[in-house]
Amino acid sequence: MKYNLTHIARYAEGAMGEKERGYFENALAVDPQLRTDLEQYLRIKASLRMAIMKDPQREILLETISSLNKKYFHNTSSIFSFIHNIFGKRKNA
Amino acid sequence: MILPSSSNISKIHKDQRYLDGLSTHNVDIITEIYSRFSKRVRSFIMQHGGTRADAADTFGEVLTALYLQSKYKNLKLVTSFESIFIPLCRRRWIQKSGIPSNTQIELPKQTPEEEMVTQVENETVQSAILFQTLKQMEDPCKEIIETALSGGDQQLLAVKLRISADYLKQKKADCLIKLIKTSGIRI
Repeated sequence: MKYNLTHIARYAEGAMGEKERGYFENALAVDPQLRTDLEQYLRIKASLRMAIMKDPQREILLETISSLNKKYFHNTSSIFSFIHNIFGKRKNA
Repeated sequence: MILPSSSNISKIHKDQRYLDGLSTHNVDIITEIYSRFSKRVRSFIMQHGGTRADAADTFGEVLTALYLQSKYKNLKLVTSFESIFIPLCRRRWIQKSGIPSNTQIELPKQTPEEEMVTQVENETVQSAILFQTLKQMEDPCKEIIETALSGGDQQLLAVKLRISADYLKQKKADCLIKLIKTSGIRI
């Protein structure tokens, strides 16, 4: 059977029944391209998670960076643009 | 679920400690990164039309990108930290400042350094594209994806949407497929 993105997503999200999952895993065991596609799907999901996850630790890191920027770059600006440019400003992130 | 194996585990560079320090917020390690590399990044950016503030912004942006990829994508260093951090800062500045492409920072092709720098750049951009695409999606897909990927309570969401937990899994797969296709990112 030829598997596509729909099958990969259904497998990764746990939406396959037991029998269908078994067939899919057998195919994974012998089809390197299918494994690569699954890996790529999981990477895309991780990219998205990276953008939307509320992460208090990131906020702490931003404070540290802001403080070290002042020390090492004599930079008076406390806000840098990456988060705003790339992900947009978020409340309570 | 069977997860694809990583082929880089045996090749991790000793400088991995820098990424580990970033992802665990080790202030000593982060300070060491500033101490070792801030002067070079500042010199490059100020020689290419930027200010101290631009240099500080760029330095922080690249550190944040590496933090995110280390924490959420399990980025592993297969080469020295310096060999990816400096090119990332330089390329980021060139991209932001609109310096003509003949100033591009070239790295030897098909080297671990080039591969990692390109990977970090591509995945940072990919992440931004997916986030922007998600913001434009409508509910219930938007809510399903946000809840699933931010660790929200999916059982509660299924109840709210009046669907079964199994059907929510199917919906989640459908919504992620829709998002990926709309974003233009190819598998």
